[in-house]
Amino acid sequence: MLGKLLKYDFRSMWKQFALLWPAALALALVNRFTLSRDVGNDAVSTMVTTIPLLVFGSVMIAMVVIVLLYVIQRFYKGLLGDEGYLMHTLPVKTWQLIASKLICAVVMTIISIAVAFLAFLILVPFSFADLQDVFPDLLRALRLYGLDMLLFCVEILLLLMVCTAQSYLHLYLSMALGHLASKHRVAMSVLAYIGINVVGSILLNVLAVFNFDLDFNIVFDSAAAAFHAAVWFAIGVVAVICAVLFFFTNYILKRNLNLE
Amino acid sequence: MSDLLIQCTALTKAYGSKLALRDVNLSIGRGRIIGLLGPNGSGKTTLIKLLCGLLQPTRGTLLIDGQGVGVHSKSIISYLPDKMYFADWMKATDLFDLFADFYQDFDRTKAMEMCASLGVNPTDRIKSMSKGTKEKVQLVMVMSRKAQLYLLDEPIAGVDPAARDFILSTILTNYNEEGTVLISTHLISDIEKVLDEVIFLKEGQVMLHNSVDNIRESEGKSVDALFREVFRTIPIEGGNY
Repeated sequence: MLGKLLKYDFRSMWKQFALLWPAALALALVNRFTLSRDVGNDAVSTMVTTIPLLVFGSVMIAMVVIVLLYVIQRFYKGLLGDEGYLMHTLPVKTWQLIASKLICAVVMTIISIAVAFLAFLILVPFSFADLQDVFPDLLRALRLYGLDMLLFCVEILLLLMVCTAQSYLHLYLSMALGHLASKHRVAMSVLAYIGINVVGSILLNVLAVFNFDLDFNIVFDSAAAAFHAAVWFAIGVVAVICAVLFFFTNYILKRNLNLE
Repeated sequence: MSDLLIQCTALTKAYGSKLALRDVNLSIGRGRIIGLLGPNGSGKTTLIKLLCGLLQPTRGTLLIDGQGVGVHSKSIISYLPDKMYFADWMKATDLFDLFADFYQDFDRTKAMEMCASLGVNPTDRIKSMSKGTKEKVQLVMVMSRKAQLYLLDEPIAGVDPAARDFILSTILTNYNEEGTVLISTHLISDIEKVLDEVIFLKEGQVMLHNSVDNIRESEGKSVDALFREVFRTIPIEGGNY
C-alpha cells in the first residue's frame, strides 16, 4: 500500500517540479555562454551578462522556497486539510500516509540539490580540460588519506537524507501539534516548531552534562576508519531523532485527528 | 462476515469538555437504507466520522463488520464527506486511478458511465469545475464502489430541490443492494420515501431507532411529522415567539 501512496505523491510532485528543474538547468546554460564571453565594459554587454545571472540567482532562491513550501503544503493540505477526508479514509495505516509524504519530500529535495549542483557546474565557465586535471588530483589526495571514495559518497548521501528527513519531520510534528488546537492552528504550529527546538536543545544540554568523550581516533587505528565511524555515528543519532519525531506525529494523527 | 454491520456500545465522543455523542448504542444490519436524522449540531457528522475512522471515540466500542475501525473497515466503507477532498492537480480520471488502486470494489466502467449520464467530463481539471460538478464527481466516486456500507453526509443539503431528486435517484440506482446506506440529513420529507429505517439523534443521543413502516403503523404519522414533533423548538422559559 505504501507503494501505491508513493505513486500518487510522486505524481503530484512531478506536476510541480517538471518545469522548475529544466528551467534551472536551461538558465544555467544561457549563463554559461553570456559569462564566458570576453565582454567590454559598455552598458549593453554588462546587461547581457548581469540579467541572466540575476534570473539564475532568483531561480535558485525560488527553488529553495518552493521546495520548503511544497513540503509544508503537501503535509498540511494533504493530511490535515480537506484532502485529509480522502487520505485518511483510504484503507491504509496512518504511518504509511506519513512515510509516503516524507519519502517523497526527501527524494524531491535530493533531486533539487543535484539539479542546483549540476546547474552550478554548467554555469561556471571552466573547461572540461581543467576538470580532467583537478579531479584525478583530488581523488589521489583523498586516497592517500585512505578514504574509500565510494563508501564516503554513500555516507554523505545518507547523512544528507537523514538530516533532510529530520528537518521535515520537525515540521510535520509541529503541524500535527498545532492541529490539536481548536483555533489558530497555523500560529500554534509555529509555536510548536519553536517549542520542539527548545525541548531539543534542553535534551542536548542534559546529555552534555554526561560529558561523553567521543574521540573516534582513540578507538580506531586509522584516521580514515575513525572518520567513517564518526559519520555513521552521526547518521545513527539523526535517525533516532527522526524515529522519535515520526512516532509522535503518527500518534497524534492516529489518536487525535480532528479535521475541520 | 459478521451478521451485524455496525455495532456501537456506549459510544461517546467529547471535544474538550463538550460531549458531541453520549452513550450511543446502535445495531445496524445489512441491506438497509437508513436515515440519520437530527437538527444541526446533534452529532450526525460526528457519528459518521467515527464510523469512517476520521475521529477516535473518547469512550465505548465500535465494531464494523465484527472488527474495530481500521484498514478492513475502511476498505468496505464508501464515504461521501460534506467537504471537497480533491487535490488541485487532479482530473476526475486521476481520482478514478487512485480509487481503482486502493479499493478492490471500485468499478471504473461504471464511474465513466455515471459521468456521462451526469454530464461530467472526467478529463477536465477538477480545479476548473463548478461547485455542483465537483459534488457530482464526488458522488460518482462514492457510488461506483460496491461497498458494504455507504456513509453519505448531507448529500442533498447544498442543492436545489430538482437536483435533490436527481442525486437521490443516482444513489438508489447505483448502490450495492447487499450493502447498507446511511444518509445523514435534516431534509426529511425529500428522502422519507426511500428509507427503510430512521435514527433520530438529539444532543448526541439516540432518541429513536425504528423502521419507517413501524413508525407509520404505531404512530400513525409520517417520519417528517414525527421529526417535527420530537424536535419542536421549545422556547426558553415558555416565552411565545
